[in-house]
Amino acid sequence: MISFLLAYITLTLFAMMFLGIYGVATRSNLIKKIIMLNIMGDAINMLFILIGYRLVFPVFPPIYEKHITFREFLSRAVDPVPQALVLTAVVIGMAMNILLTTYAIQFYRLHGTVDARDMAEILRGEDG
Amino acid sequence: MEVGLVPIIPLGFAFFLPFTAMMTGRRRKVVIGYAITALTVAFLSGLWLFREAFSSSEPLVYPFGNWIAPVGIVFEVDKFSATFVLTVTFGFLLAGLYSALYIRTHGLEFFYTFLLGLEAGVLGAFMTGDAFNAFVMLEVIGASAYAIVGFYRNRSEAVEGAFKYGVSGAVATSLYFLALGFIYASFGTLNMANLSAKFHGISFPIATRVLGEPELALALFFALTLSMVIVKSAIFPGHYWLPSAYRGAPIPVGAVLSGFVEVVGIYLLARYTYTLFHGLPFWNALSIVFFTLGTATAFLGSVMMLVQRDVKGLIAYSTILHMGYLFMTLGVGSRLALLAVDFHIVNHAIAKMLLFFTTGAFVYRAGRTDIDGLAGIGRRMPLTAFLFGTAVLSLVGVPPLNVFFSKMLIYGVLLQVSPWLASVVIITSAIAAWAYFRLFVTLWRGKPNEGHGHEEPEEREEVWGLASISLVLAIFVIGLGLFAPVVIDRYFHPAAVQAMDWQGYVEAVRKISEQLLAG
Repeated sequence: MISFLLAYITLTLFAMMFLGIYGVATRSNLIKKIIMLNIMGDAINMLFILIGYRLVFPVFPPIYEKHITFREFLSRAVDPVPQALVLTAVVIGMAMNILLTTYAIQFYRLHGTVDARDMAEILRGEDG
Repeated sequence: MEVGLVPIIPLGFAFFLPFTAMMTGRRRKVVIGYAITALTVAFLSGLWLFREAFSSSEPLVYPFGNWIAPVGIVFEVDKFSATFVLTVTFGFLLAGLYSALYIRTHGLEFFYTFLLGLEAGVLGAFMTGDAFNAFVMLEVIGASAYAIVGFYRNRSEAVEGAFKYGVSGAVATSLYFLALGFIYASFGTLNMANLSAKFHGISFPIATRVLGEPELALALFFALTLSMVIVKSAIFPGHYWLPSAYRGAPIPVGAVLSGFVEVVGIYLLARYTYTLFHGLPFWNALSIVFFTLGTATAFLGSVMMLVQRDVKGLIAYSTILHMGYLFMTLGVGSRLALLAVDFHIVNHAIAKMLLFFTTGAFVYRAGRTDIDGLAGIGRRMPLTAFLFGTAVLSLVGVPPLNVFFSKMLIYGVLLQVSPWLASVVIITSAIAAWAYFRLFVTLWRGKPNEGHGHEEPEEREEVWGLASISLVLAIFVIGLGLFAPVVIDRYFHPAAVQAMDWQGYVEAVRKISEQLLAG
């Protein structure tokens, strides 16, 4: 049962990731592009956290205590490294979000639209 | 001084720049003085690192906070990285000086903050010995680059370019993050030396076992890393963002983006395929991908150069062309190929910066970037036009100038694989030469077209400040060309030898880890 759930979650996350890439490529609204980028990024972050997951019960916190043997600790504690890495990636993702949203807002201020097709048209108009 | 300080210097200076500017009332001279000091210190540290790396027989290792290798993050600098570090710090110093004269708008303190941040990211990516740290450095580069490309935030092309670059770059780095997930799940580590040790079956402290199917993990890792590099380094299907980003970016930013930022992806790929995982089981398939995409990129870049009406767009496609050469050369897999890649990256960065800087002087005078609008300007600025000609001849590959020698090396290694591949270099160079020739003729002989409503003053002069910075680069273009055999022999050959030596790369970290573990 648990392994079925794990496979289900993994597949869902992969589907979400591809959905995110598809969305970034096809949506023409800049805000929707940013949202799809987030969906993709979060799916990847979740996948990364799953690497550290242990299919056992009870799970120990990843803090070594003297009364457990080292081998048991290794097999029962979750791996904290993926969590640390994801934490870093999440913070970076937030910075990227702010930056990209700023550009979307700035484009709205300049031209009153957040549509990528309008964007291309406006730029073509400026060239010629 | 410590190795780890080199990227920290620009980062620290960048962090305090907005505060300093605010405290001193945003005075232009203070900001420029502060930034140039920072860039000079960074250049001196780069020079120091270069000498250290070349005087030591093994890679320099710096464990952050004295945490041993698989647990903590290490910087590992070999001669291969050191050549880039020196070029990067030198190039950013010149770009900083150039910006001081070129950027006339408000908000110069933020411009320099991002420029220093960009330098820190690029240096970190070239120096790091940790695959995850490379991801962080890519994001540092990314955040600074997306911000600085959109520096002229009231111009729609700048905002559009920055947004395109930002979204593409964010997707690419996310994919690289997933790649790290696969490799971590199988190898249990993200330290580069440790990865290499496990791949080659050398014992390494702490993280010892390999789980699952390492070959599958490696295949997924390379597939995803390749997709990151394709976007970040503007290789054929992922090149679409580059022309718009360059059109929006200020000229000095374009110079550093083209010379150094695009190259980071190529460098990481070279590091993974030549140093860490040398002798991959699926190397043949990978090398076919390199050849195919590289050839497509080179043709696309050179043909698109012919149809550009904007001078920045022309330079952008020329960058794509050279990235194609580098990508193709990576597919060969020999030591000479790595030497060619190393030398070509340095040469291309210097020549392309010269091209950007001289074009920037024309744009500075004319106030526009379309080629028709710049017609005839070369005659009024003969020194700049001469330097521009030097850059163009160098990039096309005319003998006494520097890019000729690296192109010849690239041609040579590709010829060993197939004459068809080698002919790609010749054909695309010829197409690019035609595009450059037409541009030069327009700039030199063209009549400035009326009817755009601009009142043009009859006599325009040289922009001496910008020309003198270009002159420094031109000296390097000629000097590196004239002394190419000596330079290759003394610096680039040892760099390539050391970069191919994965035993030495692993051993340098392992020794320090074991020392620290022992007490």
